[in-house]
Amino acid sequence: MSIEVILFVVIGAVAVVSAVMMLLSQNAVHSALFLILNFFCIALLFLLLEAPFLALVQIAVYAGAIMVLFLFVIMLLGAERVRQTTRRFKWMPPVVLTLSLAFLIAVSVAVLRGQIDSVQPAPPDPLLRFVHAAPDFDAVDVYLNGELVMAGVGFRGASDYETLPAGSYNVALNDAGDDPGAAIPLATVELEPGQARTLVAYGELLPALAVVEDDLSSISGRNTRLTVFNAFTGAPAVSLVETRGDFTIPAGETPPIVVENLEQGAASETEIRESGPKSWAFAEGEDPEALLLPLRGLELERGVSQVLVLTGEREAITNVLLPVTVPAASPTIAQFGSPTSIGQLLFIDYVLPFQMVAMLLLAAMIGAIVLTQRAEAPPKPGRLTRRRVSRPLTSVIASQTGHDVHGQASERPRLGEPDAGERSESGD
Amino acid sequence: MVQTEAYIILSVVLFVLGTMGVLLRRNAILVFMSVELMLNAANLALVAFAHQWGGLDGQVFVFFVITVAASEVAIGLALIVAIFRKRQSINIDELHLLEG
Repeated sequence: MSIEVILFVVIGAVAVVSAVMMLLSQNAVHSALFLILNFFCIALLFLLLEAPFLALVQIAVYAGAIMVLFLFVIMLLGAERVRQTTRRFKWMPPVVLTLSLAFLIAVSVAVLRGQIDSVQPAPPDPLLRFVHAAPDFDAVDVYLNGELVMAGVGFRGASDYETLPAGSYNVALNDAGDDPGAAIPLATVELEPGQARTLVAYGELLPALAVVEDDLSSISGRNTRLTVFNAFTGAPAVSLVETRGDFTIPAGETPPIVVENLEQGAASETEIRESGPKSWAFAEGEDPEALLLPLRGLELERGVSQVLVLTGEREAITNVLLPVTVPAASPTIAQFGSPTSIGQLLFIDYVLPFQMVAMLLLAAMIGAIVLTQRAEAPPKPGRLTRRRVSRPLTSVIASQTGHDVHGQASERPRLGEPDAGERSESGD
Repeated sequence: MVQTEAYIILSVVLFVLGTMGVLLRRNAILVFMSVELMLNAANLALVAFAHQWGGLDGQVFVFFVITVAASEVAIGLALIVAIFRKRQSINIDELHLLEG
């Protein structure tokens, strides 16, 4: 038994037992606690099923918010136990048990005989893009099996990924807008499901085609994925070296090498690198101190899969090939079940349901407030009696202090008619 | 690799337990908790099928179910509080206001 099976059996057993205990315990608080345990088990099963985002939402929303609300209401009402009354429907328990068991057996048989596992999803279609790195061609059209797929890709340009059915494709290039019949067939490319490939056209005069394997799977955190392709014909081989910030190399030192001795028409290993600004430079393969091209302003973006193509560009006057780079970057595909992937789906395909659910939550909040609001009690009809003062205040003071406070104040105070303010006071 | 069937069977068991809770318990709060259990069982099945199929739509649907469950709990508990104020009881056998 693999670790996953053991985990499933243990967690599943705890989930079922906690659900049964929730049903059986007489105290509602115990039931709520068992239900929290059950929710935790389901969150763990979500983790096993590659749904980490939902697992955390489950714990935060269910085990956190909803169950706190339950416990709060139970304790507010003091409703841990209900009064035991005679059951109104005596036939209910046996009928419910029978029907539940029948349902359980029926669904289990249906599930076991339905061969759910035999249904497999179709793997995703392969992706293909084209990078134009052939200096002697202007913008080109790319034909796959005689059909125009990518139109007008200029020199040093990269097309977007095209989703194609898996299969074998004859790739032909033509000057942009030219007669499709004149396209030059260059190579045959095999595309299998789930793959992502980059076609690089390079070389002088008649271009050659190279296929670079792309890896679009997600990468963690601050990293980026980089492949270097050498399409530069001016040197036998190149290296990518790390220089100091001002693109110089201290004399007599061998610079740290990022990609070593890359032959023309070859792609480097795809490696995961730290993202951020880099002071890298292309140098000659045999002599890493002889810099060919400092990559000024090169910054590796995070979470991106990038192919960096080194090629040459004809200088207008001397017709000499000068090295230039063609970057072709594309975002990686978010991991299955990650917050990113769920968020993309929510905000692209499910915006309307998302908004409707938000409105529903708002309505529920208002409804809960309205329902629990205590109806304001009408004011009690108080009798409007004139308040009588039996002894004037001054005479009380005088009798207690033995000192006559004297004067007109000893007269009985006169009260006016009771006004509205007094009435509302008596109503409280 | 646990087969999808195992998850579905587990979710059916939890669902049936929730149904029994709804039908047999007489404490209204317990009935609500059983409804939550049923919703969770359905969620488990949805996630298992999403995993089987390799698509994320099932997980997005579970997200919606969780939000709907949250609003349902808010309204339901508010109703229970209101009923308790009126009747001093949340035994659902005693709540037969609509009985003719």
